[in-house]
Amino acid sequence: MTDPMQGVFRGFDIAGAGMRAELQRSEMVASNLANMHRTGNAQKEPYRRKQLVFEELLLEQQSGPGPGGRPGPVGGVAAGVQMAQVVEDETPFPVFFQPGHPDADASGQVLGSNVDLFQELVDMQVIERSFDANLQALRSYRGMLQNTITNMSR
Amino acid sequence: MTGLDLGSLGSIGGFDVANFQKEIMRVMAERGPNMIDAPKVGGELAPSRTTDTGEMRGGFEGLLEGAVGQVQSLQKDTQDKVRSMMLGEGAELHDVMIAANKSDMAFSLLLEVRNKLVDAWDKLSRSVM
Repeated sequence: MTDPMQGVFRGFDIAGAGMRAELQRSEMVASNLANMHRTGNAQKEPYRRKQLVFEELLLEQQSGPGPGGRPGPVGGVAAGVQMAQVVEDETPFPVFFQPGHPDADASGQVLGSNVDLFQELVDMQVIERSFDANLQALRSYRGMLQNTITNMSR
Repeated sequence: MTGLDLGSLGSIGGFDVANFQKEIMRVMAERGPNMIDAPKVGGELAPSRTTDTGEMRGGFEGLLEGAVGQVQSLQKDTQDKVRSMMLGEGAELHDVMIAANKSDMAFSLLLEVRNKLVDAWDKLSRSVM
């Protein structure tokens, strides 16, 4: 471990991982919003809404294989969160009748992306609050350490 | 005793008072009548004695120097991250702030530990006088 006070500051890293996760989610929402008007048709698929799935990160997984090359024991100490995969939304695409559209097929139908604007905006709010929650956890953690140092030094 | 290891709270709990006291008595014996001047930590600490392997030999100076070195490495980490962010090398804002917080905490811990050590030194030197 290069970090000399790894054990003491683990809370910082966990909250930091949470913040990173929320940032990634907000990037995904921004990407969904940016692509929401990418249309398509039967040949060319329109934009599919994407979501991130996360998984818990444990200290043993982080520290890698133990002595003798054997993997360390699984479970135990929390070490944050990491992105597991990107999942595509399987909701069917909405169909519009727009004969003049470049993507329109012979019958004038265009497929829109399955991004729901309001859903994305609500998600963004949730992400913002979750980020703040991580920040607050970090602040409390720091406050506890700081109080320990200042109050026990007298 | 190989310097104050800030590697975990446990090692602070394992701080060896008897050894520390012995060490102080030794330094005081070495310095003789000047022992009251000895605890000028920021200023005129004797250069730390290291063995050939570069390992800290311990003692009062070594204790503080070890702690300072560890705090310094955290501060260097903060500097690196700030730099890396400014240069667009991929460090992230929250990582930079967390590193800054870590080094800040480590520094205030060091400060308090130093105060404690100097306090102990003061008490001992006064009681021997």
